[in-house]
Amino acid sequence: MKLFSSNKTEEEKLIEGCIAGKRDMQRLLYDLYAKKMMMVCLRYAPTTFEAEDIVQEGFVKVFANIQNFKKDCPLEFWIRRIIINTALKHLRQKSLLTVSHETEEAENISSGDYNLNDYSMDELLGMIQSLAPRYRMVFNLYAIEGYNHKEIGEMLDISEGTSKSQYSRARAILQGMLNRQDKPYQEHVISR
Amino acid sequence: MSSADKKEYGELEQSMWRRFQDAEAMPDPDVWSRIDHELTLLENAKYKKRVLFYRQLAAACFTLFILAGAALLLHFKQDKEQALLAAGDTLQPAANSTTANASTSIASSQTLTEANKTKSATIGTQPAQAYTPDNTAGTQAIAQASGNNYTYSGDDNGYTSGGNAPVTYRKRNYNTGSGNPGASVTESGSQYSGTQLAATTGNTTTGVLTDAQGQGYVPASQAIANVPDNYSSSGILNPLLRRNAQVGTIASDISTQEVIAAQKQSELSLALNNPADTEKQEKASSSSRWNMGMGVTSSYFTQNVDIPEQRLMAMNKRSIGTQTGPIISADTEVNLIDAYKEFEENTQAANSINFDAKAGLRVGKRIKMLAGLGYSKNTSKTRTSYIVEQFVFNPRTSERAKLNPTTVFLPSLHTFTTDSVSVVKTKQPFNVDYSYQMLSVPLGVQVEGAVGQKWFWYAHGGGAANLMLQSTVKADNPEIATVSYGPADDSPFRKVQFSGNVGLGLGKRLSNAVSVSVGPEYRHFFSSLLASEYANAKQGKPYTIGVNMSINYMLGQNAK
Repeated sequence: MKLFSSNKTEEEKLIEGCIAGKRDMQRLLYDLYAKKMMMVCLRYAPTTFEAEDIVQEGFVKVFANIQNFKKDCPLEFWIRRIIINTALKHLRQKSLLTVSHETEEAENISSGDYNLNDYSMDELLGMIQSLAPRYRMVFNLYAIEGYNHKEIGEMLDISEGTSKSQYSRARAILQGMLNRQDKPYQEHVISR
Repeated sequence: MSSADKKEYGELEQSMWRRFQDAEAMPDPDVWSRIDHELTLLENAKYKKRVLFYRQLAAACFTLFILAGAALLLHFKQDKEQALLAAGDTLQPAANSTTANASTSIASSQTLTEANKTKSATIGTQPAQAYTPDNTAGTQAIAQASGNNYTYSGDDNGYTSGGNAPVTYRKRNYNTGSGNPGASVTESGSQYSGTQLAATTGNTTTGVLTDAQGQGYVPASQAIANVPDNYSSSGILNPLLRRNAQVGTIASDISTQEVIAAQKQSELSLALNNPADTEKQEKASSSSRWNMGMGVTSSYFTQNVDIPEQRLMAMNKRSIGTQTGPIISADTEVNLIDAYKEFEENTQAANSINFDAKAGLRVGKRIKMLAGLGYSKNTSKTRTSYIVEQFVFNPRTSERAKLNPTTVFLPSLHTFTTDSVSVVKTKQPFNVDYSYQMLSVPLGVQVEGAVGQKWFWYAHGGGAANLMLQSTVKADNPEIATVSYGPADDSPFRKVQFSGNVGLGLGKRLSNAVSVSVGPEYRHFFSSLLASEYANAKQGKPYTIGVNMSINYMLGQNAK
């Protein structure tokens, strides 16, 4: 508890320094979260260069708006949210996210129990980055960020059904990739 | 999460989430540099917006001040002219009529109401009555043509006029000031009835009734006509009454005239807010021609210096022999371009402070010639993150000497005359302050005019020769030494500059000798800060815009 409160104070100091425009504090904040955010960006962007562009743009937004941080959630979540929004905006500007209104129901794909520890991070990233931009977005937002389809629909300006449909397809493609990698996985279902 | 969502969220998603939740990837170190640069640009944009706001505010204040001053001047000038015209137009026929026939009533442009008549009449020996004319701010003159017998009484119906002599009131309106209107009633005698009632400006309302039965005076209209056009007293009728009193000494009844004139003079002096004092002040101010003044001006200063963007190409082994400039690396080439860009974007206007002492010689009623000595310190600043290191090769010793690191500003003015240049980017941006200290010899003309008894406006314009005492480029980075140029040094900055300035404002006389003034001032330099041989890029001319405050002392005056 003591450690927590101490950390919180440090974080508050960091935020105050950033609000005051102190460059050393901004650098400290960047050093704290840049690596995690870079990984987030790598999942959304097709290339490392674009991921770095998103990191840059996202952190500039973070520093420009940090006075609006309400402290009602951890700072990392707030930064992550800004980075994700920046990534979506970035890809939208590049017309990589074409709005589609697919109404067909999601395919009934059986859930498998995958052990992804056998795959390197580069392999997994490569699989995700190889997805079509809109599939990649939906997959990232749903599977890793934890948004539901309604929220994803609002974020990407698509219907909930479209989000589900695109997610199912993305999942199927990934499953296919994993199967082709010829690595063992167990066959049991975990409900959440 | 809905049930459908739960159904979809299987082991694949769990595994993905576990693997990516805390995964990290190192971004390129250059990403922070780019963020840093962008943040600096953002800060500058904010600063520029703020500066723009203050500039607009200053411009708006300046414009407002000019408009208000012009309106005020026009207002007072028009009032003065109207007052004189109205006095001449209204009193002349009244006087003529009463002279011709004392029992004749003259219908004036405005007739007072009965109540007002009574109130005016009841002034009697009471000094201040609640007489309020329709047009409040002004002076009222009543010409009364009375008969041989008349009486005043204090009640509403108590004003009666003996015989057949009707009573006629004439009313004039003046807008000579903001004071309460007062009334001064002068009764005329049986022989001649040129009666006047005058009210004056001032803070107190004073009614003066002068009983001058049997006495003759010069008619008011004549007295007004005798007032010089350029009369500048704040109380427009003051000279009229004074003059009337003086003229009265040569009227028909000389034996009593002197006494009455003296009495009137003293009474009117009291009634008209001590015009004798005012006259004394006017006399005092007009008798002294020399004055000394000290002023301070705080301004917004723009140096308007631009440095040329030099394209120094990176040199490789193949280009040896063709390269004429200093040797630079590819990194330096990129950094140099960025440094120029940064200088262009980040150089900001700062402040200027100017002190001067001037002697003034009054050459007319309103005009003063000014000359003196001044000192000014003008500053500007840049935020940069590049350091320039220059190297010189000594062929005798075959050694490579390193010059003191600088910012990109100064070596650019010298067009990089060294053998090799290295431009490195610092981790943290730092400030570079430019300071220009000048000794000025100003010469100017100032025009002044009265706004009230103690207030005055002024407008001045002039020029100055500015000698550069010291120019300094100082960085708050320990690696960079401060560079300073004195008057005798080989400086890239111009040693003498000429400037013109204009200003206007309001002043207040604290006493006969001391006055203070404040107002906006604009100064424009006629040449660039950089000397011609260093001004490789297109140079702007510096200017300042600010507020001047000064105190003046009139020589040979009692400070009371």
